[in-house]
Amino acid sequence: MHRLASPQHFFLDTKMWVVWLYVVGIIGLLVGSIWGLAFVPPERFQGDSFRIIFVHVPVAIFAQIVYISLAIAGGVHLVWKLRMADVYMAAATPVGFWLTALALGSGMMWGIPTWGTPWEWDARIVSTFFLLILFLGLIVLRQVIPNPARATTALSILAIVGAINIPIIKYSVVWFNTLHQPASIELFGDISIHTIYRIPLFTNIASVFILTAGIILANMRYLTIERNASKTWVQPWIQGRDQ
Amino acid sequence: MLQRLGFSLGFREEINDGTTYNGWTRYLCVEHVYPHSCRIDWTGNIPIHPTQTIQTKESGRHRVVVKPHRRRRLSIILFLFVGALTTVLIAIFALQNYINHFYPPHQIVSGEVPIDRTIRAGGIVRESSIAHDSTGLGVTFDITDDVSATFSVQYEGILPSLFREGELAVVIGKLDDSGVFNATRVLAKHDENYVPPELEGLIEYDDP
Repeated sequence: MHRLASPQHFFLDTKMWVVWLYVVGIIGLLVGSIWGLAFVPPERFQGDSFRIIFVHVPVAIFAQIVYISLAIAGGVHLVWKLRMADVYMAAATPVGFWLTALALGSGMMWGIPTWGTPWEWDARIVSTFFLLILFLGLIVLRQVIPNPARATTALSILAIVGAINIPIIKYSVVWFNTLHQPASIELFGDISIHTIYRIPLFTNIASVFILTAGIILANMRYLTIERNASKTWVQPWIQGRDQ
Repeated sequence: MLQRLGFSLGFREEINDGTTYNGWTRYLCVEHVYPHSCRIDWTGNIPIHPTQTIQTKESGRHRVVVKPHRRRRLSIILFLFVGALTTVLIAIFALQNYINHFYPPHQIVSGEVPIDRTIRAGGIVRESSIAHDSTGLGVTFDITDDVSATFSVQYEGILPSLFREGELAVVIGKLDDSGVFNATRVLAKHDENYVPPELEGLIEYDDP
């Protein structure tokens, strides 16, 4: 593991990881989605509109998990000053932003046929919207602070403080009256989704995880090359791309 | 106690090695800010370098001390996070009435809600209470909490397809002084159970 903390070894060692994560993630996502869209019966009340659960739930879960990982990376940066923690934050922030945007977008699409409205000022929806604003804030903050070291410190603090939002998203449907339904999947509890729907749903959750990891890793590799562009070991790679 | 848990903000840690010095309990002192500034005083404090491994008589095992500046940063981060979390949670619970999306039926019935102002109310649509009027667009129904409180709703418009008896609904509109809720919008809430149609009624869908 210590070997991967050095930019050079990280870049050289992880090339095939990205390929495998992409291949497995995309195949899994195709299998899960086609299964969910075409091969399971419609829901008893919601009919076909419930099938958006196979997109909504995986992206919503990983939007939050990516944020938690950013807060942890921020803590690691502040305490241990690991360079890779900063690279991870820069690589994962846009991925988290798009996952949150997908969660909100798919939720709005699901809301129209079921609730009768795409948007309500409900605690779950508003706290998820706040998560989107936090990701946006992390992206913008990096652009507006010119000194990279200070930018990373500011980002780490924002990421850690913003992590307060995660338990609020999670428990908003328990603590408050919301239009959004409570959780169907509890890590250490019941799953109120029928067995035939679980296989495609869990396939998609696993695939979104693998694909998210692949995209973040690919971003980290790109950032490693970009930030070390003047180093000798990078030169063959830059020249190789130009030829 | 806090120091034992690694939350020392005083930047000094004292470790009892189980021995005494002139009748006083003796402590090994680790000063986290100025590593060599521990006093040797009447408590018998002995300065040691903070990164040094200390052997205590109690455990008989080596105790490794985290590098002091990192330990300090970690403590500050944890304190900030826990402090901010507590503050936000207290604020949220204080504002709970504003964060709740709708009023439950018992608050509507008991008169806790403002009259003639747009509010949201929600509950279960009472069984066999839906009545359409002759024009076909107007509808009245009752919303209940299935315990004691029930209020009736008047609405003119198209109902969402998931709106049905025995299911949850949220109505947006004004409560008049006779206790009737004049809704301008009706939203259907659905539960967290997802069941295929042919199995409905055959099984308990909480535990398929």
